[in-house]
Amino acid sequence: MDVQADTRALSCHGIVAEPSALRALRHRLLEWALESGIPEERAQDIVLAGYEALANVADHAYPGGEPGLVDLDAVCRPDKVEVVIADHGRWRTPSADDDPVSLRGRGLPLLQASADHAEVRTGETGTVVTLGWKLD
Amino acid sequence: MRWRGQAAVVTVGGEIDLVTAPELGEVVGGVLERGPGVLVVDLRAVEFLSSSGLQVLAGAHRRLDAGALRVVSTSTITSRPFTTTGLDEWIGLFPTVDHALAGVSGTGG
Repeated sequence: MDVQADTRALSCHGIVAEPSALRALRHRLLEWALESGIPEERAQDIVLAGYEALANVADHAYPGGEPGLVDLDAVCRPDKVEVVIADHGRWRTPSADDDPVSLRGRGLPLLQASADHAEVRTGETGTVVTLGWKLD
Repeated sequence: MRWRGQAAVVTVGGEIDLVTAPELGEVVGGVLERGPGVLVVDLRAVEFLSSSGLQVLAGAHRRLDAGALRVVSTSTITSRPFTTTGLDEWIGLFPTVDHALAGVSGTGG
């Protein structure tokens, strides 16, 4: 059996973390997910969680400077999907303000609620967000 | 955007992300300056909603009386971001504009 035949991968590296490029990358991820045979509702979860991770890079990873670069890798196997988003900046969880209805801080909860598994790892060289979904 | 009595109804379509959220913020901000008693934001034609859009709507909620911001949503794409972040406790979700306007005087609702 050729295991590779069951696996579809998407790799987009060196994407500029600014709004229009991240929108294009999101479209590419959705197209890839649907082409991989992932059901539409699950594909929407993947795209939303992935986009929230990308948006955090645009918002926070490179404060005050030029937009940085972000890498996206996705792999679809028969039983699961994994999406990894890596930057070379620093993940910042925006702090909620004192108002009961905070303006900020919804990206991470939305990301976590949309994925079966979500992990944010920040190190000296950048941040890696790993998102996983089981497929039926 | 249209008015029904004291209520302003803003219809939004397409994708609400980092590209379009600032534009949505400008439109909503312009409507709020005119002092609507109720603001209905109809999201039924929205195909993607990220936290950048929730931020705009949370800001609108804070500038209005409690319960005065109402969202029309019929799909999981637009409803789930509110329910998973708990924002639906503050901003009511309704299936139609008429439901959102029910009980608001002068709107025919």
